[in-house]
Amino acid sequence: MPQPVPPPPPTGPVPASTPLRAPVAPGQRGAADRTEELDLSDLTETADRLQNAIGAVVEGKPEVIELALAVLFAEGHLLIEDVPGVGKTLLAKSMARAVDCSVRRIQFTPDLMPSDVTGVSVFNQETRQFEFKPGGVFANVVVGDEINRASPKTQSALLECMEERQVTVDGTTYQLEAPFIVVATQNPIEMEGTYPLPEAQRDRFMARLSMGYPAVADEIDMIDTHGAHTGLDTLEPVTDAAHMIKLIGLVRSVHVSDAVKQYAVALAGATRASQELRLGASPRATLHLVRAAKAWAALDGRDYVLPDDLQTLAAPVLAHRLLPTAEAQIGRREASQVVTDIVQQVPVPEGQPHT
Amino acid sequence: MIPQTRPTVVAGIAALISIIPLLELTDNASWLAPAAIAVVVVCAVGLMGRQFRVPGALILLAQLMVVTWWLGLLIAADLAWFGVFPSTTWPDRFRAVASEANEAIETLGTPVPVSDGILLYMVAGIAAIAIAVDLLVGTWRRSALAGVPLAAAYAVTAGIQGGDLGWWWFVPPAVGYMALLIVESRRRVSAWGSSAGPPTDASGEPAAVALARNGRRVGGVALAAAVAIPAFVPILTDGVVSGRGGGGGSGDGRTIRTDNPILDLQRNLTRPDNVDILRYSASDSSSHYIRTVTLDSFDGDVWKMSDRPVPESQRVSEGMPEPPGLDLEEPPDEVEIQFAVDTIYASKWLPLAYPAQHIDIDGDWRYDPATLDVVAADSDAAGMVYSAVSLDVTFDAAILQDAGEPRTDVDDLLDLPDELPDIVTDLADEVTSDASDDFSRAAALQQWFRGPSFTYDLTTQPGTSSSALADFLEDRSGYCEQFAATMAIMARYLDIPARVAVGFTPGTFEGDGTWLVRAHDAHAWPELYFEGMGWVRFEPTPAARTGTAPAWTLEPNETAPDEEPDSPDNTSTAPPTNDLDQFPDEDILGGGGSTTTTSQSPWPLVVAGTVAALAVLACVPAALARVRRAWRWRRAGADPVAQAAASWAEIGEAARDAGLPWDAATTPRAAGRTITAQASLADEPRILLDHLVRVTERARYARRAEPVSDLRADTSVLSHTLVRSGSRIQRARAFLWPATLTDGWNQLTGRVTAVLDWMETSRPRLRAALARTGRR
Repeated sequence: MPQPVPPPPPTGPVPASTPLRAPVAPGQRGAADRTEELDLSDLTETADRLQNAIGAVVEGKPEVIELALAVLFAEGHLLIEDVPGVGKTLLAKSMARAVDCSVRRIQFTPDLMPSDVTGVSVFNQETRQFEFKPGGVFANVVVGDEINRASPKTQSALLECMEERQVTVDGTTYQLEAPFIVVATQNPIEMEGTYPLPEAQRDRFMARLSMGYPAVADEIDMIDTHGAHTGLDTLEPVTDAAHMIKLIGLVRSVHVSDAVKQYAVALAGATRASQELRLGASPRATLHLVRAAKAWAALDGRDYVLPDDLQTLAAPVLAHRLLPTAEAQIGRREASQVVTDIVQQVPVPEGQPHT
Repeated sequence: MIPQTRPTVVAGIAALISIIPLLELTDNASWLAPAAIAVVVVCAVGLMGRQFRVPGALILLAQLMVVTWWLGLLIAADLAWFGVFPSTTWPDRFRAVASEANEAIETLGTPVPVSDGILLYMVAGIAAIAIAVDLLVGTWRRSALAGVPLAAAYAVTAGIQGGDLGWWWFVPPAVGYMALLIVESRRRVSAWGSSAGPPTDASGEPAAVALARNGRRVGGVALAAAVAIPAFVPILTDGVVSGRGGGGGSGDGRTIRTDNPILDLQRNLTRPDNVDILRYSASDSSSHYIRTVTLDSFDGDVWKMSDRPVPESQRVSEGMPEPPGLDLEEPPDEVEIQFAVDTIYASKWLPLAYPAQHIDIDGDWRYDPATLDVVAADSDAAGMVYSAVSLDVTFDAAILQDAGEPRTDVDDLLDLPDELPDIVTDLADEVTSDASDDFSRAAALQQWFRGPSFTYDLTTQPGTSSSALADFLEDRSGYCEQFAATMAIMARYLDIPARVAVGFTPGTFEGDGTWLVRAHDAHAWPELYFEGMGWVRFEPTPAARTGTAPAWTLEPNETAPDEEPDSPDNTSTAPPTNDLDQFPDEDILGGGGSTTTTSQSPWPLVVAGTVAALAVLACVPAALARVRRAWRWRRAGADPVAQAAASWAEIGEAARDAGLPWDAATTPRAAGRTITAQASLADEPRILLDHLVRVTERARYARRAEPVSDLRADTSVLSHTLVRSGSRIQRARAFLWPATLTDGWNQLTGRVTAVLDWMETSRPRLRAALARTGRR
């Protein structure tokens, strides 16, 4: 179990005046918008290093790691859902560890209180003032383990932070650090006494990944290398928070053409119109899809998004937000299959007027 | 109106206006009202039947019965009980009237007078159209298919009238059909045609629009075929008779009528069926040119017969006069020829070998002393069996060359119009400039016509008017009529008396001394007068059609006359009495190879021409595809985005041409992957394909596209590689119908559909606009 890095000082209390809005941290948004041609070599190199570092720990899952990195660079939150023991937590932790930044791990249990997540104001006898004691979310990377074991109230506390990137305690709003990424894991099997995330809250995760069982060869390798220890202990950070902020800014300025926007909207629209889905993709889902696609394109070294990026990401980004109808469930159709079908059906806009 | 009613009513109207072209076939429109009543009755029965949900088969039966009843009232009302009820005598009347109609159709040209029979056929045909349309639209709800019966009337008219039918007759059926489709698309039958659109239109087009478009296509194809096919099939231009074709099969209804020899000539030559005309066998077992009539007068427009009275004194039974101008020291041999004319050859003129001296034939036949033409006073040559003795004149080039001044009685045969086109006189002078005597001039003319600069072409319009002459000499292509007529005119211009003989080439040897002359052997040739020899046959029509020229007409070979066995000096040693020295061994060889050249049928030419035309036609799509590609690149100009689009479009077409799966609705990258996987590309084209995929992606989705060098060349290389990767059949298909044309066609129909849809919605818009102005 790694020692959590000491929490960095919070950005400081913001006077609880109305409105409860903190000034946006500089460099977070719209940083590189002006650059005409993006130099993505820095990003791809960093991504390669991350991939190698994480890959050394989580073996045989390069696609999963790449997807996770895309979410990381898109500054989205990641939900890893799978049966126990396939390395969900390992992936989450190694991701956090590979970036030299503050990492907090919150083990969700039924008795976890919202204040454990967000923080609490305690009375300081010496200064005779209330002093804010930051909770688990005050970190660059928050690993929420078995998020479905906590009570809905606690879950909501985390989910609010995820969306707002800020914490409000006793009328005071505290801005969370950038980057802020939640990597939550969830166990779909042992559901007894759990509180599955409601749809509205799942929607806040940019993507959901499944680890899947390793291939035979990988599993044998794993016995050899991880027999004594996990690779996590030797994992050295390959980048730091400041660098990540810069790269995230770079990803934001990846170009999305009108055609691709149309395509994203068309895909989302198709999920809403689908006969097999009770609940289609939200506008936030569309937004997440495009953001993830930007990161995906950037990881590929492109400064523009292709419809192919959307196609690759559609299932991981959209599936966990969709609710299949009863008929589809009876037919054992999963949301991700429906999304895959939709991707095949929706025509790709050609972008430019065709001769 | 009840929604179900509207299509039926419109179908009726469409059927009604689709019959308008038939007006061309008759000399008055008296059949129109009965036909309209028939259509109305058919529609009314159909409407009522469907209203009461009667099964479709019963409706059809009722319609047929009502139509039959109506036809009976039209032609057999006098036989009906109480004037209205069908009687047992009706079938006989129907049969009688129908046979009368058949006869009229066989014998009369369009426009035909409207007899009972024609009325019967017209009304019955139109009722059939109405029933078919009603069945398709009302019962089966296949409005799109109704284009076929709606085009029937036009097709029949076009078939009978051939090229004479104006294209505007095409409009009424087309308009009716379009109206029908518009109504049908209103009816919104989405069950049909919903998935018939091309894959490129997967954008969720309303089914009804797709239906209408399919219908428009069906209609377009049907109507285009109706216009185009008759134009290429000569049989349909023969007359009302052959237009109906196929019915009898026997000789009936295919009578060859000869009233205008020149017209008949071309008609015979272009008949699709090479019918038998006559058989003959000569006492010398050899072949002979068979002549029917002589055209001895040229009025500046056509060669025709001069006014020749044939009084009773000129009966052939009383002996024939001597051929004019023939005055030889040794009397020529006589040859007796037995003729048997087929029953279909109803010629007024008797086929004979020139010059006939004794004719043994039944009936009243009379001769013309100047031409020795024999004409029937009251009957025709059909089915006649007769024998004639002709002189077998051996012409001698030497005598011909020395021929003196013509006697005065042939001066009429030098008459020419005052104004001949310059080209005729200039060429006549030029061609004969080296010749010193009349015969050498004539021979030079013949040699010039038979030279390589002229081609034999049956498709030339008939005619020998001044302009037609000039055209012939300019184009240097025509058939025997033009060759014969032009040579005769030039000869007259050179002061050689000349006329045009019409008849047949010797035909095909059938064995047993018998020769068969068929319609395609019809021929015309000039005859020139030389004192002492009389009328001498020349053969200016190219060898492809007629074999070699008559021996005596070949230009005398002055350098070595004695070395030529067939040279004029040695004619005495040449086989006597043989006009056709080009076939010396015909009797020995029998009916095999040698005789096929005897009758030089036009079919090899026609076949070769057709093949050539088809070959050219087959290249047209590929050429069009090329043009379309070039045009796309040109339109793209220097715009990198448009260039990339052009490149990608070309790759897509190449992929489809190669039979590879191609989905226009997928991403360039996915499409590239599919091609790579399916076409098993080598490394180099794969890299090229990847490159072009990147270019396309960049052009479509990047912030801005940059010009790519050699894009067009790269695209071309790759698309060729792709097309070559297809199977042979696939490549042939790609050549005959490249994918790009499908796209072009879809674009075109898309545009047309858009216009039609706009028109479709214009009525409510108009109404709204009117309402607005009304309120104001």
